[in-house]
Amino acid sequence: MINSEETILNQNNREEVIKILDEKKIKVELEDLFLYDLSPYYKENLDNSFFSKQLEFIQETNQLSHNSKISFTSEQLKIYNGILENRRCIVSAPTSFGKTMLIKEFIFNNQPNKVVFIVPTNSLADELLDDFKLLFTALDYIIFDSVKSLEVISEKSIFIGTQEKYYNLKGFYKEKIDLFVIDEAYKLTDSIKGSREVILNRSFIDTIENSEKIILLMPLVNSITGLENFTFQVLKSDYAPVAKSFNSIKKLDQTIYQEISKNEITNLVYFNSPKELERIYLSKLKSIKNSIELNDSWIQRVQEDFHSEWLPIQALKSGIGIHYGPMPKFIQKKVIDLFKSNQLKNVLATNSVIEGVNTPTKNIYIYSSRDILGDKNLVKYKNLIGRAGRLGEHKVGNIYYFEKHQKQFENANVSYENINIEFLLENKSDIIEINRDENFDKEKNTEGKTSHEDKLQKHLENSSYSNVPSKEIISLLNNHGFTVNQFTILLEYIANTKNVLLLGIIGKLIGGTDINSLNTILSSRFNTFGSMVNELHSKNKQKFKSQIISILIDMIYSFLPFKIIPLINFIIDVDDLYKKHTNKNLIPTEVIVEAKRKKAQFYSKFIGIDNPTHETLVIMNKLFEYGIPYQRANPFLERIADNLPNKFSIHDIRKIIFQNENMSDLRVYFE
Amino acid sequence: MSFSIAEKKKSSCGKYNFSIYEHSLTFEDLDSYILDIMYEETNLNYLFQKDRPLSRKDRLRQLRRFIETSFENREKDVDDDEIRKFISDNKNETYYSFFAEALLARLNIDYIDKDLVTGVISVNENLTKISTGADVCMFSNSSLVLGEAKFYSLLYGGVGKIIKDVSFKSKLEDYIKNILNTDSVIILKGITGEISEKTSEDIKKMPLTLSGFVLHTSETDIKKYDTSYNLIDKVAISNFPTHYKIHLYHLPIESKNELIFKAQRKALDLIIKEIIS
Repeated sequence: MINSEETILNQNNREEVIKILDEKKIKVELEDLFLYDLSPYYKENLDNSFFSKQLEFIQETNQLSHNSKISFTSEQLKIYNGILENRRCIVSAPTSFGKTMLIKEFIFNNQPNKVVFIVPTNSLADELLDDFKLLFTALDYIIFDSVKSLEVISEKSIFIGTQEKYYNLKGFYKEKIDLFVIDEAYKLTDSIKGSREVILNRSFIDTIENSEKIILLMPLVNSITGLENFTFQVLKSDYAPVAKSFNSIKKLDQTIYQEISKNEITNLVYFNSPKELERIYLSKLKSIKNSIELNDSWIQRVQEDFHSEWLPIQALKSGIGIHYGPMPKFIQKKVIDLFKSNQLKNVLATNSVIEGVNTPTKNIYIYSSRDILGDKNLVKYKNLIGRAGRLGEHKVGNIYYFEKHQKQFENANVSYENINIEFLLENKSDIIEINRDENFDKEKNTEGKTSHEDKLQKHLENSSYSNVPSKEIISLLNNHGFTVNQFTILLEYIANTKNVLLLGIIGKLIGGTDINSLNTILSSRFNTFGSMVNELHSKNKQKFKSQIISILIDMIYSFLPFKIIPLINFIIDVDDLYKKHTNKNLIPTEVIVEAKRKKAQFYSKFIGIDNPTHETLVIMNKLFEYGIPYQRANPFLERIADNLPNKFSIHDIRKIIFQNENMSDLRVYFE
Repeated sequence: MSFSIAEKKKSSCGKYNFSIYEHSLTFEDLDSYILDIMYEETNLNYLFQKDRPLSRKDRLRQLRRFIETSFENREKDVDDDEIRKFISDNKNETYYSFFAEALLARLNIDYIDKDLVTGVISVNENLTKISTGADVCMFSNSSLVLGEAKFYSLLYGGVGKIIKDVSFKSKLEDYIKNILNTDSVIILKGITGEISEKTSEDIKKMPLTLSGFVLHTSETDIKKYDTSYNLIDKVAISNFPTHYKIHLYHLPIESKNELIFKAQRKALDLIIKEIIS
């Protein structure tokens, strides 16, 4: 499906034709569009010829069943047929190829009973849940990412969510999953840094044999190795219906200032980190005041819930969107919705926008080279530039970068032919690292001498855990998404440290933590977000208030619930398992007590309950994940819980909120 | 019904034989013949998707290409007056010209090579205008056909009109020049998407047929018609290789508007028949 570079039919020439179309100086004949498979542009070029009639017929024949306004291009059709023919396949194609569209069409036409669609972020999941709900509810599908009470999942359903959410549910898929999809599946090849990677790999490995059909979606790469034993068919295409134009600019910051001030075309400015983004906004862009229509009650609510001095809100009021990780999801969603509907022309963003949601734009400005330009971030870079250009709106997307980054840019802007993806599944040391299951290890272990359990036993023979059966350790690690390496680090820290502290464990396994922020967040003395900000600002006046606000949001909405609490749960279970086999505690009691207290403090303060039931926790988590503060949601929690179906998503919660007059206070989060 | 070769002549561009097919038919018979060969199920399907089986949906989609877009999905309600009004209101000179091109494609298949398919040929390295610019471009494994179809509303000029048509002649000359001068791989892409690559040597060896086609409305000034009809010996194309051929078709019809009406009426009736069945 990749055309030979020796002939003129390649993506580079296709993009040249798109650029000529865009310039409109020379007429591009229908025949030329046909030759380059540019069928999305037929419509605007149809004429009175019979050839035009023939193309109209092809367009109609290739119309999607789930959306008659769109027709498959011949490249998409080839990949779609490949999906139909193969039980396991990898779709490797550029960002704007329409990979999700292929999945929707497959589900619409074949109606597999149980579908699981794993995506990298909650934001992307919500966007897809919205889309899938509109499309598939009429086909009697239940669309969900959360479950109130855990029970066997057997009905016609589509789960769309992160690997973490799927991992909690996977044991309830007793019968085979009919369609299992992983979006951005190249992440399976990321080095194992923490639970996200472990859980993604485990989700994949544990589901391979429990799925009738598996589709892995990933960007266009040259070769994919490491999955040969699993008979995956690689379906590759370099087809993209929009073109890219690359430009280096000496004074990129000035251009950005001018373009944002003009407020005419959509611009996405990429920064390496929230810190860099805030610094550049404050030093160079703060004076820009672009007009924007925002709902007053929405602004007021965000200021009340968070802070009026928070940069993303100040910037938004000046017509500039900010999108980064430490931000409640409903605010991210607002920025993206405004950007997509063209009400907001400029967005300053970090990595969060790459994996986050679909945000096509006319221009992308790459402000920093770190972690995006250079040869180590090829897939990430391709994903970023894939957002430049939008079918039906911008035929050509522009990518701008600093002239001084030319070398790094050249290292990053390589052809797909220089990008090779290697799955870790055949690398034995990584099998231990990810803590693969026994079956897998056996299958991969060509020497056939030692089992994974034996290896683990040997690995831990000099540790305090040498007497605990490997099977139980494996199960413990699997349940919590921790690696053998992380486990070893924990055991070594406990064995070699006189005064074991909870913060020490956090530091070893997660990294440095801002203890002041942590204590302030968990303290019952500071009940409002504003009071926490003031407390921390009084201790560190040199920091911008906005920075403190961002740190707090990150800790409350991400770091605590998704890093600290899982770690606390893990060490409690590590200690329990040790006690079960040795009748002794491994971790000092005071550390366990402190860990449990911190967990209870968090639940009590932010979820509102010390020991929540599964049902309450799931619903509160969902609201919390969306960014709705506990105090706002708590009065309606019981009512929401009663009305929610067992399998639900944020969209079901929204529906209930809009159906009940007395919940009008919460509507503002969805407007 | 068939045409018989009445005469073979030579043109001024070389020692090439031309066949003149003659027939005697009433105008009505001819209209009916044209529509029969156009809309016959297998014939029509071949033009849109050679070798792919025809489904009922496909048949409807193919027939609907021959009716006004505004008639689609309400075919039963469209009466003759509405069709006639649409035709008479239309002031566009090229209105329904695709019909002549489709008919030329059909005749090329029937009279030149039964394996011909329509498609595009990239003949130079320029990214745009890679195609030939001809109204009809067809090929098979063994031959290439480029055609120009005209749907004139005046009879005057006959075949002479197409012979003298500057755009036709210059397109063909450009094409021949490009083909003869190219060293690069030439790509042929058929309407159903299949791509074949030919070296410049291969393509130069392939016989090329230049086919011209005119649908002419009859008029009273028969004299002018007679004097301009049989003008094959005026064909003059520069650098014409010896293995290239020329086919010219000339179909006089009684009335352009009446044929357009009949074409739409018949397509509508066939669609209605499909829907009912």
